[in-house]
Amino acid sequence: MINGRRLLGFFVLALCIAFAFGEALARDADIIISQKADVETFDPAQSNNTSTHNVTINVFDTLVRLSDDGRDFVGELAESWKLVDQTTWQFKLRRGVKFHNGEELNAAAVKFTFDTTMDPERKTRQRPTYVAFKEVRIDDPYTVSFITHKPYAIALTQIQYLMIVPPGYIKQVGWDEFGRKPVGSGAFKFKEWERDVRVVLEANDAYWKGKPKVRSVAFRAIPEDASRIAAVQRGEVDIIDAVPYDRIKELQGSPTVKISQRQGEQIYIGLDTLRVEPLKKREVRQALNYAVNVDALVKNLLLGYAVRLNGPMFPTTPGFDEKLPAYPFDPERAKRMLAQAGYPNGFDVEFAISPAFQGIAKGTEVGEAIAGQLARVGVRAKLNVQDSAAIFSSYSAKKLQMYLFAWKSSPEAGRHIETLLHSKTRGYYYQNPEADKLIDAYFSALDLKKRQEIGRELHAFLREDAPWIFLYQQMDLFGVRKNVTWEAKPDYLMRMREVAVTK
Amino acid sequence: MARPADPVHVAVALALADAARPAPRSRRGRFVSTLVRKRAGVIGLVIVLLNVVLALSAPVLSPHDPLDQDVARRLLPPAWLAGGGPEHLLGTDQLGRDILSRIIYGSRISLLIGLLSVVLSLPIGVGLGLLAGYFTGRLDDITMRIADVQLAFPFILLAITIAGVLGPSPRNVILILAVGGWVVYARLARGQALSLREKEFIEAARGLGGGSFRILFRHMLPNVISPIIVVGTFGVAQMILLESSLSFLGLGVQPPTPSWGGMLNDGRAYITVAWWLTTFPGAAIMLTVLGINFVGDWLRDLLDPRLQSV
Amino acid sequence: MRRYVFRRLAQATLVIVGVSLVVFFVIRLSGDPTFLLLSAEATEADRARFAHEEGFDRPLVVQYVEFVRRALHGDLGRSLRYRQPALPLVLERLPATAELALAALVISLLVAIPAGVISAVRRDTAYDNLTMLGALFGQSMPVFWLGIMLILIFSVRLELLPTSGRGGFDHLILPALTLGLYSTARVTRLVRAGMLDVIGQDYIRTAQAKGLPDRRVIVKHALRNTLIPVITIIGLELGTLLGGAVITETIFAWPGIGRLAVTAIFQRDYPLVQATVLVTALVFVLSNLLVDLLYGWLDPRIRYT
Repeated sequence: MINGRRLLGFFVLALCIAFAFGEALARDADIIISQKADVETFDPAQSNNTSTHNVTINVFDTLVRLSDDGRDFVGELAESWKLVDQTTWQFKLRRGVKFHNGEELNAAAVKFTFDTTMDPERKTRQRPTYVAFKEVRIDDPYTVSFITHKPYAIALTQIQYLMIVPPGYIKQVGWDEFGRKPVGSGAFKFKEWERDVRVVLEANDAYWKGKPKVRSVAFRAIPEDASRIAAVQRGEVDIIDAVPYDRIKELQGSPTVKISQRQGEQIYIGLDTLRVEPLKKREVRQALNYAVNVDALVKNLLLGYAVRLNGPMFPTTPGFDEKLPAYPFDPERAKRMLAQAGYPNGFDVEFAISPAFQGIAKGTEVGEAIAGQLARVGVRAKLNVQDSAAIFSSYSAKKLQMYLFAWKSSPEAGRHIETLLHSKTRGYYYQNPEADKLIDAYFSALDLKKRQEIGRELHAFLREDAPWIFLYQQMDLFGVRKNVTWEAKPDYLMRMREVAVTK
Repeated sequence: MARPADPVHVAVALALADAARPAPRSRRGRFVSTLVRKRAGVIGLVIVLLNVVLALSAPVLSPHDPLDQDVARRLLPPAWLAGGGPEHLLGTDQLGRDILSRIIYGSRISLLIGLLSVVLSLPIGVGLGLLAGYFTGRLDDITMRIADVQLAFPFILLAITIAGVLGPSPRNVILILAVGGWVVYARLARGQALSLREKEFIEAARGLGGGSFRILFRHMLPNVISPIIVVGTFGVAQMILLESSLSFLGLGVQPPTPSWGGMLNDGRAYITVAWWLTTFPGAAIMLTVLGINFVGDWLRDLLDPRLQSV
Repeated sequence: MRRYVFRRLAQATLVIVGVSLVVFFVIRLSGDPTFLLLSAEATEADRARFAHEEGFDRPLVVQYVEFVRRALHGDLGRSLRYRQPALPLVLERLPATAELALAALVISLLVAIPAGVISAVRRDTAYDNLTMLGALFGQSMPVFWLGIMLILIFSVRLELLPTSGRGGFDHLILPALTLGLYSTARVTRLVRAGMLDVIGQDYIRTAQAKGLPDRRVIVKHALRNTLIPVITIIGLELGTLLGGAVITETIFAWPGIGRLAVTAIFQRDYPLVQATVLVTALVFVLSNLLVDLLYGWLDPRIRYT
């Protein structure tokens, strides 16, 4: 009988194929981390993705790193640094640091890293991060100076992500090969990478800080939340990121998994103050802030895993004033203000949201909830759900009226204020010369005390002018097996050198 | 000259033949079989009518406003579980809205999308297919190659672009589905036209001096209509399911408008915590698809004798 | 026969060229990836410079000509996100995709063919009705629901199978089941329909009249002739399975082409989208051709001119 035999043969063949091509994904490292996304490339200058940085930070080193309280900087490759003049930051490098291939890490390597990151031929994705720097100068084999165009208070914030790469190795194999098989100076050496399957790193016993507590670290990407959680529950992986808030209670009751959290992105609603009639008026924008019940959102939707913000700054941004009150929830006042501004019956506006936008938690729900709240004061916000690329295209084409966005990087620097609210950087939806003046002063104040002073003024000013509806800073939650000693750090990076696995 | 079988055509014809069977030998057998078929058809009709009733009288039948949010009362379980109450028979969703009301109102969008996308794509597909099959030659080649290009093209990309350029609204969802769906009708109509054009009565009509379009309308179309209608019914079911996939990609009906596909997608994040968010819309979809399929089966039976002659 | 194959191949080339043309323009119309690729701090000046460097601001026709010129040399461009040549990125996913699609197909055939045959033989009985009902449910069940349920039951609760990822045979079972359900349902209905169609035909009656035992008649004659259209269906299913496994691949973290394609589309990674669409279109067109040839080989009545 053709049919039966053929089928059986087919089945056996399929089995053989399956066995032949698949290798057991058994636990192949001491610590296995599972993120939503895989590493994109091992060439540090070519990716802006946190998931990628979490992998590369274990293979490479940076000059400085953020302290555990998120407010100060600690030296890594740099033993010390000082401000030589208003635009020159000089770093003294540690001696005796070697790359995994034996090459020496010195000032030349640092300059090479900077130069190749900024090289227009390379078209690196990270170039915008370092535009404030004019050049890197070698003062002596172990001293290097970063020179900025003008006084730039947050130079260290930008430098903290510059991962130093080996010039010799790269000249030898080329950037493509380097991006696939990297050599760095970090606590772990690259062992293997099967794209979208796993990355395996092994311990660098000659690491200058001392060898890691574990022998190997692996990364697996599992995009689906439910699957990732199942994996950590079963012990297939040890650490997972992006745990949804609704699963926390269940995991907290687990005998094998614990939760680690850190402050994450700021979520805000941008308003088009330049083209949309009602939003041109400050009173209307303030009214919107009164109309949204952020506390209810934080409590009910985000289950308490968010911190209410009283203005555009993060709590760790210099100048943040916790004594400044957030806009209280007062729909009656909002309606009055709207009426006074000439909108007794409210107005219509388009509200763009993007569900998966840059890690925003429950974007659609927050958007829908806020639209509902605004409707109660007469502001009819029509929801327009788009994917990230589409919403960004509309954003830069100045087509959005009201949009739910997130900002993540460098809360301790306040860089977002410059990028988002200064008229020269983007200027798509808000241009205020007074704000510009304050922002410029804020970023050229090299003295921390002065910076905080100006910052307070800036923060209060922006809160009053309300270019956004201010919302909250959400928490990032991680699931960690109880026998693994990792804790989430404020600089968004997962360094594995000091992490141990207890029995 | 036998043309190689067109895969889509064959698939569709097979689906049609699902109930086309030899007449049972005994009179009793025939009676039983028609009764069984009729019963399924009746059930199907009842389900579809129920859907239509729900859709039309949603404001009257639904216990709450489907857009009424109450974030403090989110994720309440259905009435028969601990924590649930009679106020929300099927529980509440992630924003505290009543699930039963959203399912009732959701039938509107789902039926609308299912029906309209078929109503839009069917005439266009049939028209193009008939033309291609009757006139053959260049026209046929071009039409079929365009159909091939579209079949080889990823549907998601099409959906994203249409949604991106025209904006995501129920109207554009229907457009997306219609653009994706015309090929099947075209292929089927073409197949029928190809086999019909050689038949005697067409030859006779041509001999009598009938113009091409006259032949197409008065002689071809009626013979093609019955299988097309049946495939169309199944198409409605398929479109409802496709809308759910579009929601998964974020391209479906915009919130806060309730649609079954959208509810399924929203509930995906809560499968382990609140199963009722996905189970009830999923059941609604399944029941509706079932009902439409039964009606399709029954229609086939009704048009059976004509099928055999083709 | 040879002329037919050549003609089909020529048409296939036309189709692929057509697809590449449409994809090229469509993906660029749907938005650009600048802000997705650059760091969050990118300014308008950065965005404009990036768009200029990558050539996004040139007229579309000019960009297309450039693309075709390079494509003829085998260079399909570099992925904007991964900064690696696009075509190898797609090709290295083929084995995983093939593995999953084949496994799903095998499972669905193993279940659907016997189920469909028995259903046809015992039409209108409880068995038949239940099978058809099951098939209808299978066709309308949400794939993600099934996948997550399987993980929860077999991985988390029963601890029998791994939760996700590609590895040995045990990693293949749940994804293959999830992906194969829709196919199983569809093929069951089609096998049944085909069988019923064939059973009613004269040569079966002849065989029955000749006195051959029922089961032999059915299985030998009816099934053999049902196989022909079923193979057509398999060809179609394979195409769907290969291209449409996105949800399954996402839930089970399976490194297949479907997920790569959808991610690339959402990231507007133009070169990668183009490369994936070209590869999938090629596979689709070739499998169609193969099925048609197989069809002709199986049914001697079919001749190609």
